Amino acid sequence: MGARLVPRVGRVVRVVEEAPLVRTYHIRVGGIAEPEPGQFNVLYIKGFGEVVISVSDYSRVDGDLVVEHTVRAVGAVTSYMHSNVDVGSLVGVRGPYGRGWPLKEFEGFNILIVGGGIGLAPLRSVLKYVSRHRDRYGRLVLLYGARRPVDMLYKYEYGEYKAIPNSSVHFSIDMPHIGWDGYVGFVTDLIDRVDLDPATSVVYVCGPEVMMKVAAAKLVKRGFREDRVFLSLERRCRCGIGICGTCQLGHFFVCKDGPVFSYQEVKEYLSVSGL
Amino acid sequence: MEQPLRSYFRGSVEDIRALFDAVRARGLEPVGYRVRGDSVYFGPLDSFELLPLGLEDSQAPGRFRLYRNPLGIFRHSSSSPKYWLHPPVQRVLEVSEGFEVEVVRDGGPPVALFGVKPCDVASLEVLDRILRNDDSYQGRRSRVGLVVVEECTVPGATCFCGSTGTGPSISAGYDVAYARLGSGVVIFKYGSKIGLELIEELGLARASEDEVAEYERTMSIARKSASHLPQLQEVSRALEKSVADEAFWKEVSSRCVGCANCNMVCPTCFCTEFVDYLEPSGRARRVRQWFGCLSYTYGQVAGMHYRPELHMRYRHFVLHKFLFYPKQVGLVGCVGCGRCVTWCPVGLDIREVVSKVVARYGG
Repeated sequence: MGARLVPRVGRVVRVVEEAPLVRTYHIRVGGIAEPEPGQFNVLYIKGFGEVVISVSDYSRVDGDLVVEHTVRAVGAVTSYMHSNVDVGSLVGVRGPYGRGWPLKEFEGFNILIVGGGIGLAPLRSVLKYVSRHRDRYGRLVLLYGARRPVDMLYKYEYGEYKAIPNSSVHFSIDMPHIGWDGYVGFVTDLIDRVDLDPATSVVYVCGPEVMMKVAAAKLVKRGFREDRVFLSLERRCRCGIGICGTCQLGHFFVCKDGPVFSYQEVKEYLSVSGL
Repeated sequence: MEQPLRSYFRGSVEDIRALFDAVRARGLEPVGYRVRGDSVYFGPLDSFELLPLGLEDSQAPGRFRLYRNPLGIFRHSSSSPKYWLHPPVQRVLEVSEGFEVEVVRDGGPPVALFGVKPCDVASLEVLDRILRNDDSYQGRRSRVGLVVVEECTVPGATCFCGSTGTGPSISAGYDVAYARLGSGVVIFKYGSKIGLELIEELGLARASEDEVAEYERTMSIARKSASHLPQLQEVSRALEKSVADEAFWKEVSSRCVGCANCNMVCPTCFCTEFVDYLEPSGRARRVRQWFGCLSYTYGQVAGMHYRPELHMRYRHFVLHKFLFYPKQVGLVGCVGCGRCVTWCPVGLDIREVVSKVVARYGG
């Protein structure tokens, strides 16, 4: 067995409690390439298995990378992580893998970001990228919705997002909540209020699949082009390099051909349940 | 494309033995269909006697039997070259108590695939492409130094390689091929320079015109008897239109029990799943094993399932072979071997399913 399925060993250097059952692990690791926004790593928890988690941000420290992975405790490995993996723990890291958000191709465009729940994790890398290269893009609009205020990720950074020049940030929650004076309803409702010119805008969407389908359909109705609406999909990703076969969506391997696809590429496949 | 007359040679079963010895003399370990007890599987051929030359199989939907018959033709078993090139269980990682990752090495001597079938060779082309980033597969594949093919002069009852263009004779991707005719004569041909060298080493005579005519007649009949599918382009066109018809896919898969036998025996099904083991000491092992789209958990993730219904998974099996594989690797993924028909416990027949798709959505 060759090296492609062999992880580098990294160490958790920081853990951020984001929301109930959601933590962001900062893992310091050497020997892996810098991830592009929207790419993912495969994290290996010794004896328990691997999980595919998008990179939400990263930094360089003395030749190593510190990769940030926001993990919700929902399956066996991630639940084990939450109860047993902490600062100082060793974690295997393979990656970065996959086709991320197409950002370089859309320099000069306005950017609309639509995130739902944990789906903000891969979009955070877009926010970071755009704020680092602010002069290369037009207006930036972020729509982010969660079930409850407490479920929102990266709350400590919202000031930073709002401070990005020529940008606006809009939040929603699904159900009314004491102390919440923002929008109540689905995040996709907010699309109606976006005042960007579809002709000069690109959209990056991530959230539950049903939310992404609603968002994409709505965006297209509003005049955004299908080949400029991008979705980050999830499937049963395991190997990350297109050899285990279990993440297939039609003829695509989500891990290798995606996880980011234009709506145009996957529209037909997403319209058939269980494909 | 058939070879010119002069490049067919004649011999006997004894010359197959001589070929076997010549292959070994070149330092290649033969791997192929081998007898084990009362069955046949795919693995190392330590001696010529292990080849299933005295056996004949009888295959039908949901049925496989082996009989002794010195002149019989053995088609194939439940296993295929995949069994050796992409083994059912592969070690991936060994990790120490202190999290030192040990790379598992899987080396070995060069081998010759010996006595494999034209459909097997076609399956290698598919696997070579779909597993091009798979270090384990590529490592084993690079050990294959020679391919010796037995052409199927009498295809089995579930075979349909004539329809998929992958048999019963072979025209590329091999070094030496032989065909056992009913008369007991064995016709040899070569598909590479090293193949020609081997045939010269055996000192075989050119086949006579009559023998070549018999060979061609035999293969032509064989091809016709192994053609039970509509035209492939029509199949993919019809499948494309059928995708969203849930009622149709429920109907054609209604007898499927979701056992994934078809995946396991399919020479081009390549999916794998990872399994982790943790010892009390803290040592861990990570293993990769065959996984199939007919299994319940195929498409299941923590918190949800992308293919919760059996008919969705069966649909993926059929669509992948005829519609998605061509888009992924430029080749139809079905090589017409019929294993999925033979080894299905309820005899669900992909030829019938595909014909139904074309009947409903073709034209």
